[in-house]
Amino acid sequence: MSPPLDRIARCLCCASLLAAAVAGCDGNGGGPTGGRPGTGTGDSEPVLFEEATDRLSVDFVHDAGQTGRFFMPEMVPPGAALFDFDRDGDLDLYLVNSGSLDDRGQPAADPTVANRLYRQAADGRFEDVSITSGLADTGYGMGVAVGDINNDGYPDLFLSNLGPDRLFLNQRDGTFLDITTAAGIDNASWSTSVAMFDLDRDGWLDLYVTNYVDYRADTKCPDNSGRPDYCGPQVFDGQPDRLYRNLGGERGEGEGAGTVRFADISPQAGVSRQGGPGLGVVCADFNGDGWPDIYVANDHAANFLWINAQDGTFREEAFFRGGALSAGGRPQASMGIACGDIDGNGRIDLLLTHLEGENNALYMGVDEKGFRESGQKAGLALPSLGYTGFGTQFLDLDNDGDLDLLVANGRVKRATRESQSQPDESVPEFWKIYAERNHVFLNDGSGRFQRYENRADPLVSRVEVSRGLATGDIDNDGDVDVVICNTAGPVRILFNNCNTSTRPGGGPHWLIVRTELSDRGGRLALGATVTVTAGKSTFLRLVQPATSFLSSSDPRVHFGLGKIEWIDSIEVRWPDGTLERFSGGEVDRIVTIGKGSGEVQPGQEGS
Amino acid sequence: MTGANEAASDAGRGRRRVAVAGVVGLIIVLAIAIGPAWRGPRGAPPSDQPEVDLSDAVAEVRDVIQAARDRVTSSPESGAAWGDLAMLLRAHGYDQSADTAFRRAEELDGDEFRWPYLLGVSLENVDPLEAERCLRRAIELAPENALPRLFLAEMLAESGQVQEAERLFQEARELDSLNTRALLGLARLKLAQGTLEDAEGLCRQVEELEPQGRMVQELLARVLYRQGRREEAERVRRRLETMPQVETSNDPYVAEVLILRRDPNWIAVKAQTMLEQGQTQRAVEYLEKVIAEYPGRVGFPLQLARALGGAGEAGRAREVLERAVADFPESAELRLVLGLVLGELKEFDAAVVSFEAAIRRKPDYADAWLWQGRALRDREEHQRAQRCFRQAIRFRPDLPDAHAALGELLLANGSAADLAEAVRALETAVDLAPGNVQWRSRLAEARRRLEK
Repeated sequence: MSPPLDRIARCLCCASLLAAAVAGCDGNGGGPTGGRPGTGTGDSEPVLFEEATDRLSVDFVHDAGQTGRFFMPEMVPPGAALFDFDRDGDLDLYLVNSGSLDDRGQPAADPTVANRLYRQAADGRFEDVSITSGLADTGYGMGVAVGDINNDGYPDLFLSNLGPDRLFLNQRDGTFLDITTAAGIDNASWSTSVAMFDLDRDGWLDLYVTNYVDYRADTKCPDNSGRPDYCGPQVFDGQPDRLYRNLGGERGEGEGAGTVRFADISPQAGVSRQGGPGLGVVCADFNGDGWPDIYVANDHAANFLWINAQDGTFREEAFFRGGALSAGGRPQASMGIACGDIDGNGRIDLLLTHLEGENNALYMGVDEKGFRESGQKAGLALPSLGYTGFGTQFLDLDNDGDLDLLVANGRVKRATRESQSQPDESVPEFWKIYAERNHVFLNDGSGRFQRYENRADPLVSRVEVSRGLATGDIDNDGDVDVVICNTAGPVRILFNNCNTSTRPGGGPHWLIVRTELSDRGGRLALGATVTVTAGKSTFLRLVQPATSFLSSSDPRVHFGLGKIEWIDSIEVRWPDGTLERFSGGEVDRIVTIGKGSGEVQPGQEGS
Repeated sequence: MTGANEAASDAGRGRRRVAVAGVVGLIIVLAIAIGPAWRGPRGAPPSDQPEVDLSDAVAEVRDVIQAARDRVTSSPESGAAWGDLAMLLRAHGYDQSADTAFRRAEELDGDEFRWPYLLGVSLENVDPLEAERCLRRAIELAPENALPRLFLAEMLAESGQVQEAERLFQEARELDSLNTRALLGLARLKLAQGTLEDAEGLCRQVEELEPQGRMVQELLARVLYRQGRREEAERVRRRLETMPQVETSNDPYVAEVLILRRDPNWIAVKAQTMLEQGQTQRAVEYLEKVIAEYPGRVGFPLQLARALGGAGEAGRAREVLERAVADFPESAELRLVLGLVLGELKEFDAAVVSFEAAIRRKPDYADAWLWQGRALRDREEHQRAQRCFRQAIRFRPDLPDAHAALGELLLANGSAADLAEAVRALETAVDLAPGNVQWRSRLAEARRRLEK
């Protein structure tokens, strides 16, 4: 071979190898979706949760109905409730189901698709008592709220539906009675999250029902390439919410004691002046005046903060107080709400979950005038950008004394960028493109959060279309367990390993407090705040099961205490404003505190 | 041939084999790598073009994207071709592929600031670090253009990098002293820092330049509230309620991407824009064409009917709607709009039937109840009309028209019980719509009559 050909051949061989190498690369050049490389914890951390659904005998799979028509109501539910309906000391479980829609987008009656009530038995397993309880409602279910509306000590249930809502009264014998019409509840709008709270401090629980949009099934919302997809709320009118006042002890003519009635005071109270596409709600005292206010998460619209004017009316002030819009002044697609005091300043903080492309917003309560958006500073903004969050909760997952954060994720629109995650096998084919991983963020003790990413943990490793999230100590072992509800998928019950796993030096300590209004039939004191003091440490928790999204959590308050071994005192500010102090004592127990059995503190009316 | 010659020949043959193997190997590799491109203009693109699944896209979107891909195939070193492809992909929601195409355009066309700018804008909420890099590059390439600075400043402000954000807003302002976006950005920073007087001053400047700007009014209300000037804040807030919800953007580069859209949503927006600009006939012709091309979309006949109705052509609107009702028998909205058109044509009986059909399809359709009530009122069926207005209120208590309609009807009836309820209904209507002079006047009348 002539030398020039030789040289050319060698060059060409090298070029071949290079070409082969280049041809094998990913031609896209695209980087990972999401910001900087993960700075969270990894697989070296202990596994926080184990899945317990099967061993507890809970076999519920949410029915989202026939797919392919992209009716908006399909992709919103479901929710769940953890509550003790029979007062045996164990949490029971209520799961909301939905079903099919007809061609008009209206619920199609189907008696085989119903909500379910599971009673926790003494051995910890759950038995399905839906039929005998009377709670196997077949409406197109969205969410559930729990509270004792007739002050008999037994919790009752409110169901939000696409279509008429339902109110069920606990009969105290394992059954519930539908009292919707008799009680004056008439809400045929598409309702979502609901909260029970005592708006006028008269000792009777009232109802706030968020309504979503004036949905029309014939409106189609293809994506930018013309492919069918679900509509967002912007194409419909937001519906005004409903506020029902419990008439409590007021008797109408001919009415006997124990008759439960509500009056729709929405117009007079001012809350129906503005329609908003409401998805989340939480009731708490946001301005420190001792009266409960109402925060509503609106989807693609400014959020509402209804400040209680103490005269039966409310003024909308989210706009002024910094809780309505993003830091950049834009309305966001707000869905779920987590509520708690994460920085220990005595003010309620809120975390709102949002759509992909919008960070979850952390509104820190700074003073009686309002909030400051601090998601970036807390490390919560960036990791949430690529996800669509729904149910969410602040809770001490590792019992170290500070509040951590859980977020249930699941898309509502087709992805415009590839997902890195493979959906679970349990996710039906149609729903796979909407499946996402859930998030856990651990508080480092200074109000900064790090994402917990141990892929061996089922809470963060499963990739499903998650919506509702309820939390509570299901096995009464002192740590907080989790229920995740999935659209068109199985419910997931996850037990916290915190107090069961072995750790060097022994497990962290804890306390669970159950607050009872002895002058109100022993019902739980929704709206109370509980402060535990131990040495220089104080911990504040709110008694309000209605947070998150479409769901109701354990109404007892949980305190993770880390190494603390003795409680100095427990202070309760009751819903009527009274402040009482109780002696502390040992840790690692569940205590019930009754109003009137402690030491009343002076100057307790508001602060 | 001697032995030495044979050995030399063997070595030579060996080298030739290596050379031939090398050439053959290269040809094979290159064939694998680029071969599909040689199938012709409508074949698969070169391997560095991003994958795009167009199988579900509507035909017009598919065609326009494929044409852009073909232009890249023909001119793979053209930054402009890559940029055009990127913009089309972005316009139609193929974001990941668009990212790749923008990067390639930036590599090939390093002086064109649009590529890093548009990539940065798109990545803001996906990969903020990369977005920042892109926007800084865009600033370098177009130092006289305020937009990249503004976008970066807003991003940094949201992430808490206040000093840098403030510097960038000031620079943007130096480039364009009347730039309201820069002024608003600075005002927001001042509010967050607690320097409220400065914040108010900046808001007032924006207010002078854009009296109908919603964002400045929102910010001003918050500033006034923080200053303790609650009544003024409430007044601003009430003014906001009369302002349009949507803020328009004045970013011409993003607009350039948006107008590339060919999907049905955008068609509706284009038609609406024509109507708002008074180009009714053009909108009507456009929509008629679109209805033929997209037969499965109820929104287009609805839009066309509204356009014709607005142009005084109720008869033609009725024809369009009756055809559409046959195609979409379950649509409540079509029935409602048909009822409105029939009312315009004074065919009240038919209008009532149409409203009833809308309600059957959507029982909580407050607008349908309201119009049903109005039609029954016009036919002097007052009891039925009252019931309809009450239903409208039941489903949409925030609808002032429903309260006003009920109030006026009860006022006309004149009984004492009715008067009390009329007053309540009209009070609610006025509370919900304080600017409505007619309702205020009816309320005053109702109160006078009640007092008597």
